[in-house]
This record gives sequence, C-alpha cells and structure tokens, in this order.
Amino acid sequence: MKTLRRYLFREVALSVGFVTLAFIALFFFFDMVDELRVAGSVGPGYTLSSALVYVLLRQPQHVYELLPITVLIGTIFVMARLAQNSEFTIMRTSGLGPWRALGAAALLGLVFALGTFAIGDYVAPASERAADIVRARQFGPLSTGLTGAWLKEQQGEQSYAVNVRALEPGGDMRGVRIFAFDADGHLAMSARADAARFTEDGWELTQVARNTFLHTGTDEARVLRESDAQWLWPTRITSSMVAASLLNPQKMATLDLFLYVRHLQANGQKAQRYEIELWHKVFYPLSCLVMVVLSLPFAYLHFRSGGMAAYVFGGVMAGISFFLLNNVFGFAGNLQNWSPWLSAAAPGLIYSVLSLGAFGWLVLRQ
Amino acid sequence: MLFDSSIRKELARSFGATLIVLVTVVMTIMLVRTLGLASRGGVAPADVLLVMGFTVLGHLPTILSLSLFVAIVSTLARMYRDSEMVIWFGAGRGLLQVLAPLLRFAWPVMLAVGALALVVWPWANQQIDELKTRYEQRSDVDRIAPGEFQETAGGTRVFFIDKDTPGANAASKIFIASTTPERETVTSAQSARLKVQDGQRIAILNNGERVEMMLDKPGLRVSEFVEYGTQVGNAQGATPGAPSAKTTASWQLATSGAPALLAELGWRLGLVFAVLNLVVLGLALAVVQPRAGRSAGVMAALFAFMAYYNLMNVGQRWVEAERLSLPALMLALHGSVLALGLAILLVRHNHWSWRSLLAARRTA
Repeated sequence: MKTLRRYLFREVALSVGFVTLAFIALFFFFDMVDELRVAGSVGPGYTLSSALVYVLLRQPQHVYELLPITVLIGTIFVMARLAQNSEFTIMRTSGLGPWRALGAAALLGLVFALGTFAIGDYVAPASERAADIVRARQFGPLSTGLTGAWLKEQQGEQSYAVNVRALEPGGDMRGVRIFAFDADGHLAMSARADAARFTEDGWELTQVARNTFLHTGTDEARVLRESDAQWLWPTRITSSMVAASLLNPQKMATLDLFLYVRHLQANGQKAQRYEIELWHKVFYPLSCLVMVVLSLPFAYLHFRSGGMAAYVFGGVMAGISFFLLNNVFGFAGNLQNWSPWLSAAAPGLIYSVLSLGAFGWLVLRQ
Repeated sequence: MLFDSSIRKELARSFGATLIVLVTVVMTIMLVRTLGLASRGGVAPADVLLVMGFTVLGHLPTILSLSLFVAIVSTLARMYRDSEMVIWFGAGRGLLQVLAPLLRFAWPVMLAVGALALVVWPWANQQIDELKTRYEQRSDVDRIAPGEFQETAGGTRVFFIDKDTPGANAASKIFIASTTPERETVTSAQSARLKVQDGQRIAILNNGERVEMMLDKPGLRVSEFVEYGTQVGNAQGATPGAPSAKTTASWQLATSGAPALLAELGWRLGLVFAVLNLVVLGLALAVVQPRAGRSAGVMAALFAFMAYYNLMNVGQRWVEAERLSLPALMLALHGSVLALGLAILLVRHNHWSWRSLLAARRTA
C-alpha cells in the first residue's frame, strides 16, 4: 500500500507540476505584454529588468488562482493513463479497494488544499508586497484613486473619517487628514499632517496643523488652531487595515481580512464584499480536494474501446465549470446579498456529492 | 495518403481539444480578474463580459499558437511512444517528410493568427480602452454607493453616505470633503435628497454645517445651515489618454517610423512567424524513447516555448529603446530560432552524430 501510494503521489505531483508550469508560462507572457506597455509609457526609468522582476513576483498569485484547475487536469491525466495502461487494474487486484483509493485521493487532495492555502495566505501576499515595492520605486508610493485611502472609525460618541494619501514601502503613511465629528454630526476637529507612523497606542503624526471647533452656545462657535511637530492620535486602525483599503482584498491574508471585516462592521461601513472574500478564502483551497475526488472515477473507466480523449476532455470541462461556478457564486452573492459563507461553500458541496456519486456508481457497477 | 491523413486527423483532434481547454481556462481566469476589477470600480459591472471577451480575443493568437504547439508535441510523443514513428521510419519516411503534413495542417492556423494579431488585437484593445474611459466619465450621482467612500470630480471631492439610507434619491449622514489648491471644504449634513430643477440635478442637504479652511493663508469660515442646495454636475469629460501603440492599426504602425510603433509592428508580425517556427521546433524537440522516461523531450519543448515567446517581448523593448533595428531583430530572433530548429531536424533526420561525422572524415 505504501509503495502504491508513493507511486501514485509522485506521478500526480509531477503531472500537476508540469501543467501548472505550462499555464504559468502562458500567463507570464500575457502579464509581460501588459507590463511592457506600461513600461513604455513610463519612460526609460522603468527598465526591462524591473518589469521582469515585477511580473515574476506576481506569479504566486497566478499559481493560487490556477492551482485547482491544474490539479484537476494533472490528476485526470494520471488517472486516465493508469486506467489505459491497465496499471490501475493491477493496483486493484493487489489490494487497492475503493475505500483505500478514496482515502489516498482525499489525502492527496488535502495536501494540495494545504499547499493552496499556504500560497494564498503567506507566499502570494508576501510576493505581491514585494512586487508593489518594486513598482513603488518607479511610480512613487502605494496609493489608490486620486486621494488615497479613506477609513472610518467610531470612538464612543465621536466618529472619525481618515484619509491617508499614500503608504510608503517601509510602512509609514504620507499625507494624513483626520476629521472628527460629534454625535450631532458637527465637525469637532480637523487635522492634517505630512506623515504618520503606526505605534502601539495610535498614530504618531508629524508636522500637524489642527483645528478644534468648540460649540459652546447656540450661536457661538470658537475655533482653536494649533500646530505641533508631533501629535499622538489614539486609534485602533492598524497598518494592515490601511493597507487593506489601499490594496485589493484578494491579496490579503485570511486573518487580516477577518480583522478588517470586524473593523468595517464596527464602524457602520459595508463589509459584504470583504466578508464574501473572507469565506471564499477559507473555502477556496478545498476545491483542490473536490478536484482530486472528481478525477478519481477516471481510474475506473475502461479505455479498451477507445474514446479516452473524450472522457478526459469532459472531465476537464466539468472541473472548469466548477471553478467558474465557484467564482460566479461569490460575485452573485455579493450582488444578491446571499449569506456569505453559503455562497462560498455551495459549489464545493454540490460537486463533491456529484463526483462521489459517479465514483460509487462506477465501483458498484463492477 | 495514409501517412498524411493519419497524422493530420490526430493533429486536428488534439488541436481542437487543447484549444477549447486553453480558451476556457483563460476565459475563466480573465472573467475572475475582470470581476475583481469591476468590484473595485475599474469597469462597469454590465461590461464585464464584454471586457473579458475582448481580452481573450486579444490573447487568442498566443493561445492558438500554443494549442498548435501542444498538439504537435503530444501527437508526436504518442507516436514515438507507441512505436508508430519507428514504423514510419522503417517504411522509408524520414523526419523531414513529417514536416510536410505538419505544415499543411498549420497554414490555416497561421492565417488565423495573422488576422488576429494584425487586425483584431488593436481593435480589441481599443474597445477595452473605450469601455474603461466611458465608465470613468460617469456622473457623480452614479458613483455614490452607500457605506463606501467615493471619489468624484477628478478626485477633488470625496463623498460618504451612511449605510442605512432610506431610498435611491435620499441619503442620511452625509460627509463631503472637497479640496482645491486654495481651500479645503468639509460639509456634513444629517440628511439629503436629490431634486431635479430646470434640468439640473441638485442635492438638498438638511441640518448641517460647512467649514471652509484656507490653505495658503490663515482664515476659516464656518457656516451652519438648515437647508443647503448644491449642484451635482456631470463629471467633466476627462480627456482620453493618448492612443498607445497597442491600439494603433497595423498599417499606421508600418507608415509611422517611430521606434515604439515599429516595435509593436514587429511584435505582431513575430506572432505570425512564431507559428512556423513552433512547427519546426515541435518536430525537432518532441523525441520520446518508448521505454525510457517520458517527459524530457516534452519539458524541453515547453522551455523552448517559454524562452521564445518571452524573447519576443524583450526584443520589442529593445527595438523601442533603439538598441536594435527591426529587421535585425526579426533576423536575429525568428531567423535564428528557425535555423536552430532546422539544424536539429537535419541532425536527427540524417542521424548525424559526432562519431559518425568523425568516421566519415576518416574514410574520406
């Protein structure tokens, strides 16, 4: 059993690796075409080598996006080949029962799922950050839109709107504006600072100009103008939250995403999009498991009569339809306000049941 | 002819299957990416399918070439593995004779790639750019989404409306920050509604205040209001970016003479030459020993594809930077790949090896 499993795992790993490499080659080329156009319009400062490094650093994100599909194609190829060369029949006569086969497939799928999770949570965010730094050297600090990131925070009675123009590669903020409102929605304080740093107790702003508005009577209003070299603003907004509103939610680690969703919910902002992204992030690696289970029935087919290509083709299409459904469900859930975790988990459940049904039928029929 | 038809039939089947799988996978990934772009406000949600379609259409030349290459390599690998090639060789067919049916199969693909690269690629890019600019120029009101900060009017104004908003034409807890080089204005209000007056859209804010801060000189104006109307205009039409090389028609590229445009033309033409070179390379590299390890030749073929296509990009950049002229690039890259492929093919066809060449010299 150990020999069989080792052989099976090695074959599948090789084949999946090859298919992944082929797809990455294709997408690397597409990215390079896009990037060179940007490089051309930026001028001679953005050199070919930095474009190359940038595109290369973006590949882990592609691996994350592609892995379920390549796992499917690679595994189906191996399974169909085993069936065609009668290798799988030999394995079955030497004691690879349906439950053991299913167990081996599940183990394999779990390994791929763990790998996908690790890439999506650690490797891809880290390399995306490195890619942003490469770009920041040419295009200036990381920013979004024309005014940068906007965040909201509720602190007791007061509510704050915060604007961060840009985030330096080192983690410092540039061009910070803070507006505080009292319970009635009147402006209570406004501050503008050139730069800010994250500390344990809040943000440490430098070169601050502050206006404090004091509403004392009915008609009377007083304004206190101060400017300080340094000022500490107590807040719970962390660097990862600022980065989150500047970055694409797809590029965030699961824990950061969870904390950001909590922050949005606590401060009266829309969190639906991030919530779906969070659940998607949790369930997405499991699609690797679904893919391996989906390809297992191919080992039980008989290819003596020919028609292997058609079966393989059908299997690949089924897998891609799963992948498509998985993504469309997420966005449809976003628009239709479905329960976030349900819209993220439903496709996986449906396809697992279908493929287990196919597996059971093929095993029972013989 | 059996030889011809057996190869071409298998090639056609393999090419079709590979093409469909590749197109679906690329479509799926592009759809996911475009949906991500749409949810961040890059393209209109209604245009997602259009943008995805145009993107895939633009990339179709590469996908077609790769499908052809995969079909050739996998078909030949299977024929070697099942000892079919040995039988053909035994029947007096050399490796070079295989080239003829392969080319006969490849020329329609080459035509399609040519049409797609020279005509469809700039057109598709132009369509995508148009869709994106049109969406960027939509009016302020269309942009506002409750519970999210929204930039309008070229980034000088930022809106925030509370998540619990009563209806489409009314809002609660509004915050507007607008910045011009001279002053910064912060307006906050308890509620607001939208009204059309004399064909102008006007937002009426209730129970709020407006603080104007001068940035260049000390000065501050605070005004409280019960009702305050402000005109919500349509965003001024931002000037569309200068047409880039990617969207310029091929005949304009040829007549312009600017290095960036010539480089783009060379890239498009390169896609067409690449089809021919891939056929030769595929035949030269797909060698599988029936009883030995499977994948050495296939791996070599994959790396050849990767290196070749990325060198095309690098070459475009070089021509753009005027480090290399266009004809020189064409000759150096595509010519040398063709020469290399043919050389490997000739060596394999005639079974040349160092030992046989040395032996030939010794007898001569």
